[in-house]
Amino acid sequence: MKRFDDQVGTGHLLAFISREDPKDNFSFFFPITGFNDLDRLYRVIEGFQSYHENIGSLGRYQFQGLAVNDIGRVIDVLPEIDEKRLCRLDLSQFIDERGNFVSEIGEIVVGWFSRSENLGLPAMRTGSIATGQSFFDRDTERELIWKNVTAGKNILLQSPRRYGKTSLLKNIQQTPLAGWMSCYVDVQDSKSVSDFLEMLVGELMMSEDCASCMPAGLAKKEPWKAKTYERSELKRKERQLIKKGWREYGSNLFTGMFQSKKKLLLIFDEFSYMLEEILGSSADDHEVDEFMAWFADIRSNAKNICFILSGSEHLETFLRRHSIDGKIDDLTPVPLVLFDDKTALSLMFLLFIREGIAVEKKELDDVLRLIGEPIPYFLQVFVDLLASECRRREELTIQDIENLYYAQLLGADGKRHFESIEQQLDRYGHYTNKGKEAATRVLSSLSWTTREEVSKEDLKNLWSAHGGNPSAFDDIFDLMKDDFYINVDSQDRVAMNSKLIRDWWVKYAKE
Amino acid sequence: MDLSPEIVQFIKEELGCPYNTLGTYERYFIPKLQFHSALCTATIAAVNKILNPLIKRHSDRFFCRIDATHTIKSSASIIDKIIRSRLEAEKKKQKGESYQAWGLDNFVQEMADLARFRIVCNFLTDVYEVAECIRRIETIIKFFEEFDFKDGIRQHRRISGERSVKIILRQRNPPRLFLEIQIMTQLQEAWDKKDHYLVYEKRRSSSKSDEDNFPNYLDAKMSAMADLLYIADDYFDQLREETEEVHDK
Repeated sequence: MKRFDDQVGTGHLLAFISREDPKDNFSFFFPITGFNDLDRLYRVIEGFQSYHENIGSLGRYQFQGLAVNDIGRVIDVLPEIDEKRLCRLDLSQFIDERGNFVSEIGEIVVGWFSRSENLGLPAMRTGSIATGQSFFDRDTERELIWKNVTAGKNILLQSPRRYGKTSLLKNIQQTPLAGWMSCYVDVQDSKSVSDFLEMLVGELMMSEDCASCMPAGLAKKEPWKAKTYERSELKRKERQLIKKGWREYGSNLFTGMFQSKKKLLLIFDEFSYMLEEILGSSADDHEVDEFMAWFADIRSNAKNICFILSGSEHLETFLRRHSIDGKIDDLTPVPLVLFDDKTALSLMFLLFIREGIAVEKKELDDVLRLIGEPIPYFLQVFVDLLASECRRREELTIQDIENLYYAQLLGADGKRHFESIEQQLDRYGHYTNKGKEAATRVLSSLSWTTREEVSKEDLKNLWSAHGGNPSAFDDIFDLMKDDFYINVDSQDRVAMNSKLIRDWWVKYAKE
Repeated sequence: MDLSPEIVQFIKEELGCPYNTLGTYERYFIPKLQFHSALCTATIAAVNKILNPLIKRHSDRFFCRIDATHTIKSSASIIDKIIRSRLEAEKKKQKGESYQAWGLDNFVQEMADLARFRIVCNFLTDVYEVAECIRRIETIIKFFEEFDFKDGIRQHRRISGERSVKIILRQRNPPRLFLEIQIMTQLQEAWDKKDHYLVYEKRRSSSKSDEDNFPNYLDAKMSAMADLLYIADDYFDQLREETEEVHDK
């Protein structure tokens, strides 16, 4: 991979211009330095032309090549060109070692830019919620969720950590279907049902759209217009009301919502984590039981409201572990799966382009080979690392990529990205005596072995041999599956799916 | 763009489905000209390499710029040219002379001005300096043969036309496409833009003969304007030499 040479302004513009509305256009600029580039340019033109002829959805566009003397002044010469959908590329990205057009890469850029809503390229977002231009793909999940919601169903969205649940939920909140309003509440820090209700009211207060869904007295004060400190004061007053009795407050709140003529989508993120927190903090052993029964009742009475509950770990597992009848039969499970390789390839390619890096298909394949399963968070972390190193060094070889993976991503510089591993292990320690130590042994063992070599029973024996309580193994194992991307096949053989996590354990495994 | 009845007829009769309508005929031509366009890009890049040092050397004034706005001949102009070449062939045939007309089967390889770009210079002498530099660019010599060199400034033959230098190149290897580089002064470029609107487009969109469409005396006036601007260019060159002499003293 190499840094784009921004100094070269002369080149070839391959433009897809709508026949109906020329303002609807997207184009790719290839810097050209002379006749030595011509053969490759011919191949690229042929590749795109053939793609244009064979993909029906591109029929509305005229495909045209244009010589450009100075791309910086392209608008002066071709005023109809949409600069937001103009992408600088490099011939090397589209031609393989045998001189053939790399159609997968052609598909990626055409697929991305032919969608008129895609202005510019997806932005890098490492470690925080991907919103706006950082949000990528997930069309299938979005469609499935809205299909269920519009059919009046409540959703249980589940996936392992770092898959991008929160980003998807935020996206759903920010781009609701027509006729729907939505409210996103991150309930992770709720340590009681009162906290839960306070957070819900706090979020409703932020939007005028939700005025009809908040207590009438509160709506009159127009909290969405208030300054932050004024809103805090309003929240404090609501908290006092909630403290007098969450059940009564909550029931009144939802009764008010039921009377609203608007359709509301309520999204509760990290729901299972909240239940765990309440269980750990509450003096009342039955608070979760009572809450879940009450909440199920609310959901069953809600005609104009749909709910999405989400969590990293499986809610059913949590409830079963604590012998709680959660009454969650009404929830339709929607899994959030990993990006497939094609989607991961697209994301990486477009991110690199945005970062000003020309990357080739074989290099992207190598990145995927190194990290294994494309967990969105780690994918972006690695792309970010490679892009910044490539900008610094101008160029990176395949060997450089591999070195950066082992020395930096898995090295001291990358430590912060794996801090959650220690946190999860501590959590296991809180569940059961010696849970941390025994889980560490189990995970270390898994990192060294292949699927054929280890069964769940073997791991249970290992767990017990290192002081773990045999009766707690199944529960902890369920947690580990989501936290460490562990997969059990039909024959009960176990493997750690993420090569990256496996490599991390191999490097830092505590024997 | 208005199309003459002859062009419309050509589109309907000679272009097969689905290109035989006014809405779709360009789809026939555009893919056939992709390589011409690429050839222009590569040649511009090669020329830029030699022009940039020249521009730097003349950094105290405007020297030249590349105009790549109309690098590919429009589909309508190509049809127009095919029609005219057929008429010409007919005339020659009547005189017993042979003449190879262009057609849909050979225009890609044989039309010399499908791909072109323009270099606009400040002074007349700059035009020749640029032209000579281009003719000496090694990569261009290696890649193209010089098919023709037309000095339309000093050896002006056209009744009505801008005065420019045209270098017509042809690829040495298949597909042996042509490329034309036009080099002219800013004043002649201005004339050309006016001529395009006043004469060229009107002639092409009309079925009348040239004389009916654009009377001779108007042609003469346009030609006089080109000559006037040439004199102005020539005079500016003299002024430049004089001011430089004064300055050098």
